[in-house]
Amino acid sequence: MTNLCCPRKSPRRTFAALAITTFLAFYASPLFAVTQQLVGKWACVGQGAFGFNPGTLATINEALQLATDSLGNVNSGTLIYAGAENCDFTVAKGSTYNVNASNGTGVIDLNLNVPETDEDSDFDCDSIFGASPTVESDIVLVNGAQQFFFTGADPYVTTEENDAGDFVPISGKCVKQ
Amino acid sequence: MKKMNLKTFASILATSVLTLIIARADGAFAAPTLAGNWGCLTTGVFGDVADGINFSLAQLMQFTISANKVTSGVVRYHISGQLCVLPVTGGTYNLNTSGVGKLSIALTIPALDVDGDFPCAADGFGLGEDVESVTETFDIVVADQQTQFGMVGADDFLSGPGASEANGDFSSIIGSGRCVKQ
Repeated sequence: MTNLCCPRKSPRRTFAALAITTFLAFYASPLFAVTQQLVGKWACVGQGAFGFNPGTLATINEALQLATDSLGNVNSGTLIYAGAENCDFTVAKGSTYNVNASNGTGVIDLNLNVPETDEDSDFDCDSIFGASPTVESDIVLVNGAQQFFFTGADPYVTTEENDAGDFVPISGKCVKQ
Repeated sequence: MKKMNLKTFASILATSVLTLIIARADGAFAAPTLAGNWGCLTTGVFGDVADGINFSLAQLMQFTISANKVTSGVVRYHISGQLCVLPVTGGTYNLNTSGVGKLSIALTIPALDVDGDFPCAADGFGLGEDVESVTETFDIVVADQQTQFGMVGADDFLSGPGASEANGDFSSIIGSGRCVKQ
């Protein structure tokens, strides 16, 4: 039967096209993809340090889980602040992020619900960030917007009572879940 | 001239592609390239008995490398609650065939941090208050098929106007980190 669909391609051209496509797919660098929004679920770990000299130096750690949408909202999440006493903050409504499409840098602002006590009920979690705090971090997207680095902004903490929240930088990486 | 037949052409092409794939898998190219857009985080810790406190530092960085030069970007230098934003004005890198080398990034230093209560040159870098530029140099090692590199502050981390050997030795303060291709 005559093939009415398509002109027959040269085997040489087909082979060359296939080889070049394979080569480019293997060898080409990933595209600059920071225009992608920060959409999805994220798992993060961050660390900072603070202490007195002479005296003790201790690390401050944060583990985060965040869910973001394409409209710049952080819709839910948990921030576990671990500095000898562990407080599990939940992410409240009104939390946001934005990303500069030209270079993948941006800001993420988390409004936090403060738990009454820490994980083993022997510490007042209000004493970390104050009541109804917002914590702000600077971010930079990497790896085709599948990961981002973050570090605390200046100020890091804003509360109803205090807007001069200078805080040692807590820095780390978030990875898509 | 004798015309190449299909079989010969296919054989040469397949051999070329295979050679490139094997060379890439072995990391056997002459020297890695860092062309592209990068996001990075470095962290460190510093303490001073005179000041009475110890604290962490961090640099969140974004920059572009093109034609073997750092062409643009921004470094957000966070030191104990104060944030200085430093535009990238240039830079260079070199790597050996094992992927080890140095990266230098030239920066403009703003007079004050983002909320205007911290002199960036003097208190951020230990330079003179009127110093407006500095170059940071990192020892780097490239990984994961040139999509990442690890970095530590080089000895003589800071150079440029006002950077003496003493405050050039900044490498242990700024610590270490990683850059990932965007």
